[in-house]
Amino acid sequence: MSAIETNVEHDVHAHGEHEHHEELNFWRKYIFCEDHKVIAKQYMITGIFWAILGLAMSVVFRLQLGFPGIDLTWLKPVLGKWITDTGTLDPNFYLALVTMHGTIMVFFVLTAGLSGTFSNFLIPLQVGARDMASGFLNMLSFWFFFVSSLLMFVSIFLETGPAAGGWVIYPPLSALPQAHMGSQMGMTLWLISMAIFIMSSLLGSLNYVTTIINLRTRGMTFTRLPLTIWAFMITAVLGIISFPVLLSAALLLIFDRHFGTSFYLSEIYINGEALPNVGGSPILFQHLFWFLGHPEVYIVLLPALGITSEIIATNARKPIFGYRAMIASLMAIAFLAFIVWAHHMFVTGMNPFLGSIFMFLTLIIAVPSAVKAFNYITTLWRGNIVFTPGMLFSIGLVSLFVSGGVTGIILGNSALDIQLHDTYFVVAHFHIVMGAASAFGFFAGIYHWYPKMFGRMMNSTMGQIHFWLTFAGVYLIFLPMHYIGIAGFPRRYYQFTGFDFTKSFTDLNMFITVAAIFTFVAQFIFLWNFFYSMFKGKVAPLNPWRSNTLEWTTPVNVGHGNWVGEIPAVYRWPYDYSKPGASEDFIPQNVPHSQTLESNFPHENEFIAQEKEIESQNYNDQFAAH
Amino acid sequence: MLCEMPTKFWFTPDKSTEQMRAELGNPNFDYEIACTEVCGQGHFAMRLRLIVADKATVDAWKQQQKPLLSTILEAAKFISKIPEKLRAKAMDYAPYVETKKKKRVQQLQRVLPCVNKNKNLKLY
Repeated sequence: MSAIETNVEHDVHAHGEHEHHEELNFWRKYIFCEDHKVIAKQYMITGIFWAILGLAMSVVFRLQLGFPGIDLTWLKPVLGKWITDTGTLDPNFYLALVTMHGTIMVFFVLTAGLSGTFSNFLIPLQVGARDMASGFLNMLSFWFFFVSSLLMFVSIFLETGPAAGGWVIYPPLSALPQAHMGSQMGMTLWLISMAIFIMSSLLGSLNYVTTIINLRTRGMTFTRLPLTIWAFMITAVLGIISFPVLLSAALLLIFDRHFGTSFYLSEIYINGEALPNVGGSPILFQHLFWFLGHPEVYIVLLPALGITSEIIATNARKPIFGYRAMIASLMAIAFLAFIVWAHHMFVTGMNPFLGSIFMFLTLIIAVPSAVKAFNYITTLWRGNIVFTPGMLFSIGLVSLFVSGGVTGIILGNSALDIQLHDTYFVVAHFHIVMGAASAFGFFAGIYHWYPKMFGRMMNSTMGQIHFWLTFAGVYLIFLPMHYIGIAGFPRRYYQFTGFDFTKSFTDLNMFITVAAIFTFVAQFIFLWNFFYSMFKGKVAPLNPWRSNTLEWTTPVNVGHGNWVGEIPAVYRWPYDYSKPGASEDFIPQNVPHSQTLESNFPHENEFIAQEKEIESQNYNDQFAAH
Repeated sequence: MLCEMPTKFWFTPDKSTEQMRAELGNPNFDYEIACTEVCGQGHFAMRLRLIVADKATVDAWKQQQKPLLSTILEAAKFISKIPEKLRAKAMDYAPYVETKKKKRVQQLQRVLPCVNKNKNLKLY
């Protein structure tokens, strides 16, 4: 490990003990806090707030889809004039709802909520650092996210409604305020909000990468990092590379909207009037957007996969199968993520030959994805599985990842995409493989690390009920959706009653809506469990899941700086579960090989000689004096 | 598919509307085309009826059609809007002179699949 000289300056005691600085006041402790654990919780609470709002929106538009023209007068107190005089949902607001649902769930819940919570919480705890590389930037990252959230939230209450061109905001619809109600102020706020969101995401990602590279504890080599950390790091790198491209796309769109440029506009007639814009291309926007948009789905998914790796190994009481293959497949997925974006654009009129190339690259993703899926299954194989709620959600994620991935292979085919493009087949595919799978990762992470976050246990029975209802609910919603997709139901339709081919699927659509409401309601079990356990839950033991990683060597209620006294040194990888010869079925990372002679493999005895060297290092303690 | 950006797409239907109606036992059956990319408030109502028929039926149907330009040109109002120097050229595309008619239709059939490539024919 390299010696790191650039430690963050902390106004701390001049020696290595940490019975702490002066008590921080309320604002510094809970609001403008620089402690990674508090920031993680801030992200989590904001993410949960957005998730409730985003899911509630989906229930409203599902009602309209399942029961076209349904009387929603009872929503009038909330939605006001968006419920028409006849009691139906306003078609403009329907589009606003699907747009906001997409934006909220993709960016605010599954990017900020998932990465923000678990990268912030777990990186310092699992690599053995006192805090993030820059606590201040970390705080700034959350508050940028908060401002961005606030702007998006405000946009919902505009008279003309929030952005309504779909979460992909394709121009020219989004570029011309006169084209649609949702392209007016709502779109402006959407763009500003996203620009700020991107800054927040970049500050966060830079911090994650820096912390993982520079602040690992003694002995924590890259090959001893838990897979969660690998996943968070690769996710952060994806974000750093791709989010600036979305920022540029958004900026150019702002220019087109407000400064009369023609980046995305050319030869447009609107309301019989010719616009002066010449020379732009709406396809340019799609290229820029999907250059972020595709990596984005992996930014959403990879942290969930990392969390799953960790939880499955812990609760199967077995080493993760193919540790290095897991890292390699993460890297392969991340690399391929950047060269497949045009599979979202097969039918835009791009060259079919180019389509074939992107199809080929897209289908290659199946290989590293299959490596991951099989490694999860082989890790579970003949393990002493403990079905904690976290474990159930992780196994559920593997199921969703496989069944959603299979339809991905179908969609990746540029010929089949002609029929399936922008139908409910696509909606079903990405909701399973990206939406539900990542949400399951989020739930798994919360159930698993809740004891570390709040020092209390969540109710396990309620967790298991929550899992089974959600798991059944997700499949009940999205499995039938594939069928109506194949039948040709297009996305973002206010209703399908104008078409003959949709007539025989009315019941199926109704069924999906009922399943969606059922699943939404089931989430309140989680919410109750989450908030109730915070105050009344059973007090957590030190290491409730008998896990190997470093966060369980901290006190039950972790203070600022994470460890009392020295940061532990690391001597082994994090997956020594059920090692033959060992007295316990787990050996934490901070146990040296010299203490486990009975279970060491022959080559591991050689590591004993390195222990002294590892112990003598202490470069990375941010709080220690120099 | 994007506005102001014509895209081409070929496929060979293997069942005509009539055949499909017989097969389904539904005399009201129609092939339907739905707008795919969200385009504004009325997106959900952009329905197009597609009729698949054999060549003879299509040809017969075409014979009955009057070129759009010919009907418009009949209105003297429109002629006056065409700039003086282009008027002669515009008349060139008005195949309402009896002798010309047959030839025009044949030409039309031949070039239809590549309407976008041939600027002159855009008028049809």
